[in-house]
Amino acid sequence: MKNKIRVLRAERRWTQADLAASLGVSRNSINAIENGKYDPSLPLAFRIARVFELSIEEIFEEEGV
Amino acid sequence: MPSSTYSQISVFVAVCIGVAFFFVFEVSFVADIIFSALCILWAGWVFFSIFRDQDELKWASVRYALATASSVGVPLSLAFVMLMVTMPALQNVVSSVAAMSGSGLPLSAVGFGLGVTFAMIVMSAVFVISQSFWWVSRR
Repeated sequence: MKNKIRVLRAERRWTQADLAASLGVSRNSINAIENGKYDPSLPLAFRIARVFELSIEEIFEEEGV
Repeated sequence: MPSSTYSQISVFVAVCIGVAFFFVFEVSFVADIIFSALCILWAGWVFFSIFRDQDELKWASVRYALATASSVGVPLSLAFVMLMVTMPALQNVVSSVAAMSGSGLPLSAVGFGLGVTFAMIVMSAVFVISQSFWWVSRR
């Protein structure tokens, strides 16, 4: 699954640590999600969407669709 | 791999060595009780630390490692124990260790204890290797 977290985070000038702290996860988790190495659970995806004030579909995109 | 996992594995290996020690050497009843109590306390600490630590990525790695340890580690452990029981070379090692044992326990009990301990070590090794592989593959 592709996502725009790195771009959205850069637009807001947040570090991975900032985003990790606001989501209550580790910086490793943010790094793995940004690099497409790990797909977050639905509750975490909702939290990410809430932090960026966007919908899940605006952040995550299914690959090959 | 997260540091807390390292500490848990370290304690686990220490417990395995401790159990083997109890089967091979003569240990007082009080030491036996203290060791058992420490094992129970450790199990409680691990249980509560699971609920305290909610990081999703770490949980995914633990789930993967547990699945591998149970699906691959258990059959491997069984194979290892069966080899220990049937292969003459390994059988001699277990027999000689059991014969040297000063624990006062019957030889069969010592052999059983060593078998269980080695099986736990094999499963722990599979857990550590699979979790390390999972973390490396996600870097």
